[in-house]
Amino acid sequence: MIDKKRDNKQSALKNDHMTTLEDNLENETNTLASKHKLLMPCREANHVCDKSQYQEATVWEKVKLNIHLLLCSFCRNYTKNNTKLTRTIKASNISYMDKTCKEALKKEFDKALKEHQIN
Amino acid sequence: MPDHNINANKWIDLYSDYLFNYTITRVNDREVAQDLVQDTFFAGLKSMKNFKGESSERTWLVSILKRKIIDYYRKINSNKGQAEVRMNFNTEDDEGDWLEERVADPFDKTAEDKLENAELGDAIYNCLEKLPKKQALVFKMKTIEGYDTEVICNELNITASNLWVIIHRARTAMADCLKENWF
Repeated sequence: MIDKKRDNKQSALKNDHMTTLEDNLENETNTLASKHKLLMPCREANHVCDKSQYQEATVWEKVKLNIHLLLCSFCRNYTKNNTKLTRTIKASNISYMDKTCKEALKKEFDKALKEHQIN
Repeated sequence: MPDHNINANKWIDLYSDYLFNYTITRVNDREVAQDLVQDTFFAGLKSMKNFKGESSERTWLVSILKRKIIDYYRKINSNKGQAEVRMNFNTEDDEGDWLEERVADPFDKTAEDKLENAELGDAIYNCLEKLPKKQALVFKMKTIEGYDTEVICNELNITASNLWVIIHRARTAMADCLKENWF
């Protein structure tokens, strides 16, 4: 049991190490090895993750993202938080003022404000 | 305190959505909520000289709004009282309807959920306020108001990749903020 935990920890560390390494490599060249391992750099993975929160990622992008997530604990964590954020906002049923209504209110309020300042 | 100055020019841009969300979770009617928010702004304008700067502008406006909401409930409650006097408990439709059946259902959790939603909505707007202005604006348009990427880009005159960078930063900050205060 403990050994297993330790193994997990080690592999997590390795993954972290790998992502930083990958990030470094990203700027220089996409070496064949890095391309092969993660299919896309972390920055792109996060971008696809953001897009998928708004249903704007393509199927191919999502497949690549999921493969990347299998290998990268940092991006896995980001994706987890990001999805949670989307779910929370959806659950909150948050409201905002109607745009036309807001503009009408603004006009009226500005008028009242001017009168107020004159007096 | 000098840090809490009043600047009514920006009230509607800064606070209308927060106040509206605050109201609608408590009165459950868009039109009523709009009226109450509107009344609040005008009442705030009238009593601006009473603002002592002890709290932030928004807190002060919310305190006015709270009174407006209470007044609203008082008003509809007094109407209800009059209706009750005339109510006939033995209408044909109600035959066999016992008072026990009108008691709130203990398994109905919607009221509790609603309360939690109200607080969550407030928390989201609070976090939004901590973001830089542009990030907050873009995030709100994209996530809460649900505009298309193209529409936002045109309106704010930014490129799509620019938008996604802003969204990414905003989402990271929002997740951190909500993690501290909510998750």
